Amino acid sequence: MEGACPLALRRNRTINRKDPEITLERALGPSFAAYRKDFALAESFKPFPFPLHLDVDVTTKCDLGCPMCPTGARAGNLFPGLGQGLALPFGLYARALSECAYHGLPSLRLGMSGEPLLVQGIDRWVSLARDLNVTDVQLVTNGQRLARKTSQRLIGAGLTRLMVSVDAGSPEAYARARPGGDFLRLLRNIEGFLEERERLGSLTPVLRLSFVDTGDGGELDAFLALFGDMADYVAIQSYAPLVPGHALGLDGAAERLTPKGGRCAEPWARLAIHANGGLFPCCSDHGRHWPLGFFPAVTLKGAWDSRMRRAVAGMIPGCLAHPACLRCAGGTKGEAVPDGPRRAGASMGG
Amino acid sequence: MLILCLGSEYFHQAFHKMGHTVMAPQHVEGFPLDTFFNNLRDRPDMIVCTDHLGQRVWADGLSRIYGIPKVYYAVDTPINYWWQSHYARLFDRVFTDQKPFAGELAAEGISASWLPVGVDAKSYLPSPDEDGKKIYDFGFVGVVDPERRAKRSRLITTLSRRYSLKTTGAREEGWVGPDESGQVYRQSKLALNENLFPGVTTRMLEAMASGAVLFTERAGGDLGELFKAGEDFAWFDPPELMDVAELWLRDPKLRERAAKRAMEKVHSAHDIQNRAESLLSQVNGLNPGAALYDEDALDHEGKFLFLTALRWPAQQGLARATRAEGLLRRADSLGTLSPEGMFMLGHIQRLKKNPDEAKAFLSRAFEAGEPKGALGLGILALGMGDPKLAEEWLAKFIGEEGFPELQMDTLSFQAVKLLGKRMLELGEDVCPGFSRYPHDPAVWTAFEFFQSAFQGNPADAEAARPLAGILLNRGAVAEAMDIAQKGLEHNPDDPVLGSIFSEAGRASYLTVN
Repeated sequence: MEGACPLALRRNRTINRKDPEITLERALGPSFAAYRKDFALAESFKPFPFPLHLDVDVTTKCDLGCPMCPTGARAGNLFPGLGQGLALPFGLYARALSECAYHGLPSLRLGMSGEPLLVQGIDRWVSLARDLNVTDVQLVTNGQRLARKTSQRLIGAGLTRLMVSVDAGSPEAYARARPGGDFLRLLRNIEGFLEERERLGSLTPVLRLSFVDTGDGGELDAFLALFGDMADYVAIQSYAPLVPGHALGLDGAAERLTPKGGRCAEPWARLAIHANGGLFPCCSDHGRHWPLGFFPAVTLKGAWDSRMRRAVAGMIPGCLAHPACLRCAGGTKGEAVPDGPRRAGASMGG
Repeated sequence: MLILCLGSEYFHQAFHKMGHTVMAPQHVEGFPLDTFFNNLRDRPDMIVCTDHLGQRVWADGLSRIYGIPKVYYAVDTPINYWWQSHYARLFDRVFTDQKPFAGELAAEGISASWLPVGVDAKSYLPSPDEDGKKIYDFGFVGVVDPERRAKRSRLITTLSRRYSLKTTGAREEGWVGPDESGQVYRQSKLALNENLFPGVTTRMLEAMASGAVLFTERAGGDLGELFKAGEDFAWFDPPELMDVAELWLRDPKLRERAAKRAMEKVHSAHDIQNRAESLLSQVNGLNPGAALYDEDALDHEGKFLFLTALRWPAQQGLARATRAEGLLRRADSLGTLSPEGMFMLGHIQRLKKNPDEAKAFLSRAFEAGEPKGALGLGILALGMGDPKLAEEWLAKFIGEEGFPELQMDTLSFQAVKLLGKRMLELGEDVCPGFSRYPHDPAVWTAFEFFQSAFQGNPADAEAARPLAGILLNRGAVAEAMDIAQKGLEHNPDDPVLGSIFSEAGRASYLTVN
């Protein structure tokens, strides 16, 4: 689903048709390899002075109504900031990026809870990041608005990864998983993108197509058959339900996320900025109740160095697990979450 | 650290002494700073911009430089804040030389704090061959001009009646260096200071650095935060001028102690070096991101350029107004142009004799909530020989149904008073340190409107009262008194003018014997 992050990939299955890392290193040079090395170290719980990746919630608006997504399911009441049609102002993004450039941020992704291609001029967001030496600039989309011209502009702007969420192998399954979307249009758009990339002679962006596995093995096979050869790599993601009572089935079929060594590596590597300027230690919607602060009143560095972020990362001995982490790792049991910040225990700080 | 310094050289030496490298590109109006910056081999760690109010040149492209903390030191803020408040948006951290303006910027969401001026203290040390003899009761360094500095002249005249007073530093004498000014201060029992505007000024610190006893008007208490009144220096309110003078002149031990304490304090804590260290310590770890960039900055940058073009038209004013136009138009195309920016664009079109475009922008400004749009349209109509249309727009500006009849292309006295009253309501009483009178009435403040009415008819108390009131509120007490006096000649029983005259007289030393 939208919002799936590199870490989720690691815990899921990635099928590489052509190794995207090799392509990206060829296209981007040694700085890419260096950042990937650092990323691996961060995911092994090495501390870094600044995040290696920034997730940017460009907008909370979406043109689809995917039932497994809080935005699409209109479950905004469960997660602060969602369902309000918020858009991160470009100016605020530019300011955050300036701070990132100062600290040498290597990686950034546009898109979290909404559809970034709904934002006019999204290629400007990409080109600014690339101008400011962000090595790996990613964009996640449902692909419905990936017209040829858009593809052209994104390629020209220097996008390095285009991540399209498909989640089906047939029009019927697509209509169930992604209400409001047109499967054939998606297919045409992906083909159009690939043609444009070839026409422009560009190695980037590499194309990732993803599928959320809800246990229907037949659909997965159909997806792989249709899209497997198109993509540079394919991601099969476990379904971790966020919306209570979701009809796709919550029990058993979903692979529980088991954090490595009892800790989650996300807050060691990434920071997220939401459309309302809220700063978060990961891209999980579960954490939306507990911002580290709001940019620019709190700088990205300030949020990164904050006690709360370090506590969530498990850097502070004796700190209890954050309730957001418990929900994320264990899967929601369909409990409504009250508004406002909560403290899990006296030692949480933040 | 490699510090890119823009504007004045104020901190250069101090930064060098701290072991930093200073990079200072040549000051050229409109210099494309971002292009220069992006072609640098060694990327600076920080940009520090200090106002150079002598040269008054500003580089272009500050808002297109990302990934580096930007710091601004705003100087002479009491008379420049009206344009500095826009320029400050381009920086991550701002310092102001006078305390109240740091508060004003902070209230607008800008990270700002007070950094008082400093002096090159050692250049005010006595030379070895000085005998330390006190020749004068008072010494003063600065311009003494009854026309331009009426209050100062009266203060000096008042003291001169009873005491010996040495002055130096008149414009025609040329600039007075630290050697000479320091000598005058040290040869005087008391070093006199009179404030053009309240706050801590270099004259105060220079006098103390020289080893003199500062004797200063109280007006504005920030000096009291840095030094102790009565122990490090003497200060007075106008009514107590002579009593305080007598107290200090009669007590050489008091003076000696104060001079020694103050001198030690200035040399140890109020040198430019101290200020540079304070600035850098406060921006240690500063992250970029508070400043506005690119399209967000266009409106503010355009406004700042327009206002500085207005202020200093003879210094590349046209070029600056053209740059302002470019930025404001871009802001408009991106939808980030403010109503005030629309008004400025409209005014620029008027100056370029593009009436249709001027009308379009001024109308949009008015519709977007900038009342001066209607003022601009009214003045435009008047200039195009349509007094009826002018009356309609000016009526809208003052928020009334009708406007006094206008003749041809002139504003009547009644008209200017109404316009002045409206500007007072809008909070635009005067532009400190700068008269907009030579400019088009569309950019006047209340002061210029009432000045126009008063000059045309000094007997008109309705013009004299607000004019004197504005001057009194802004500390121009001698000027306020003069206006009140002239007004009282024709309206001897006017209580408002009488009150202003008394208060201003007291504050401008007229009633001191």
